[in-house]
Amino acid sequence: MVYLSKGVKRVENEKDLIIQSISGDIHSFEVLIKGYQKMAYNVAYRIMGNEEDAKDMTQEALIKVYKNLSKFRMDSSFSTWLYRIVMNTCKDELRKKKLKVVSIDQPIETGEGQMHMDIEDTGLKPDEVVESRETQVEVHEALQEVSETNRVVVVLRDIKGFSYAEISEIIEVPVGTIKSRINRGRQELKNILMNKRKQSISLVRKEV
Amino acid sequence: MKCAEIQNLIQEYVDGELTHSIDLVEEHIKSCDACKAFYDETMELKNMLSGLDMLELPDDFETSLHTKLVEVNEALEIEKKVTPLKKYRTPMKWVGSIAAIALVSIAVTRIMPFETAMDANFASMEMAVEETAAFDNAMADEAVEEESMEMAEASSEYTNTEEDTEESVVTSVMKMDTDNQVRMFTAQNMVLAPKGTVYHVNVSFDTAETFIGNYDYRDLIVNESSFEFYMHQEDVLAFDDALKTTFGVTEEVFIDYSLEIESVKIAYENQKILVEQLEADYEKASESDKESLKVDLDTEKSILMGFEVDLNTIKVYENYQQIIIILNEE
Repeated sequence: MVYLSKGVKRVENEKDLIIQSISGDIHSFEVLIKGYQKMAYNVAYRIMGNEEDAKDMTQEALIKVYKNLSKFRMDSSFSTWLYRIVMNTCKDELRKKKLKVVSIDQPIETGEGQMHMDIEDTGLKPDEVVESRETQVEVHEALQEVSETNRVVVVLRDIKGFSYAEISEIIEVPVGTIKSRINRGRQELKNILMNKRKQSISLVRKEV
Repeated sequence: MKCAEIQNLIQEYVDGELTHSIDLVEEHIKSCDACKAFYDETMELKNMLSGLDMLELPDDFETSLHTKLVEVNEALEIEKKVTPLKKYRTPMKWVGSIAAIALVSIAVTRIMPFETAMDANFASMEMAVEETAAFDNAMADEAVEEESMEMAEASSEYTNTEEDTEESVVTSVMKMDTDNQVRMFTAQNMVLAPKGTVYHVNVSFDTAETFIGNYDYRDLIVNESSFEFYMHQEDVLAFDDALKTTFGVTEEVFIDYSLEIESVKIAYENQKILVEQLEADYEKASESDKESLKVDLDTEKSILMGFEVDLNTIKVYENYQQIIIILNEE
């Protein structure tokens, strides 16, 4: 890992920082996580859906990392371990949220199923790249509708660019399963986006 | 090779993870419009996702985290001074979770078909559980007199045991076929039982842990001040009774997941109808339309399969109830 601190010094040894952090040195810990916290926050944001939860979950996870550093195995990858804790923290929170809203008004995918029937233009328009703020919001919102299990892998793969092997280590699921979740997740996302576009097109038509 | 298979490969291809059949995919895309379209769409989707802006950390992120870290240090100091025994909580806590990992594997394995191939793994997992239990006892005996330094050693030693256990479970999972893997891992991630109960109790962490240990639980999750697990409905009454007579239950909340489960069933039924209709359309369609219809059909079929997996998991947990025990603040 390359990390540039204030003095533009390359920190070669994560191990030293970890050992110092275990002994209670907060500054060392802050240096240690400096290179990861932004990524962790962004992953959490795409999983949780909003900035407030993303901040809470990232901080909660980093505190867990700090408290449990002594359990970290030095010969394994620190970043993988850190991201695993972030993912698990997010998952726990989503679980709790689900519990709070006992038997919630989860959108039943009923009507939508029928909607697939009269789609004429399959495909997402090739020239619609993520340029506008609107598209950003649209993609982010659509992502939140993808089932949690699949969303996690799509975020790690397509937004954060982790390899299948890295994802497999982070969420502790075999690569074969990662593949099938990525396939399903992308398919879900495609369908959600297509539906959203269809709806907005028909809205425009009504207005006209 | 069928288009559906090619499209699976395309997903890996666009991720740069395809190690074989690359030529096959590239050739196929050149000659097949449907798969070319699928490739373009997938690329498009990937670009959209990777094009999402990276957010900057909130302004107060580092300062507020710093404050929390200082609080942690202070709390740890207090803990060291006042109650060295608490130290021993940490390793104990995850004894529960290893046991849970092992148990879930065994429990899920038992219910699944294709057991014959897994007998060997089965034995190794049961051994893992026994080891854990043995260690558990050893820990309990020693813990009281141990100084915190020695505790730290024990816990680091323990960490290795954890790794071993996890590894053996994971390796055995690797040997299952994909369907079973999916099922097994979904089983760990979603709400599965139709009903549940939340109990608020006035007992210490250790008392609660010992108490739960007497019962046949599944998928135990141990948190700072709560326990979550599943229990067969036949055992729930006795558990409920014992819990109430042994400890003070200050609050009891019933959870009903039947609507959620129902919604999965409805979604599955709708998806099934959709697939059937698409299949009928496909049969009637002209040759030229067939190709694009096939893509739709495959997509919808794969969604249907997803629901099937969910329903299977729900089936497995049909006779279970979720139990959540929350420890009241002392």
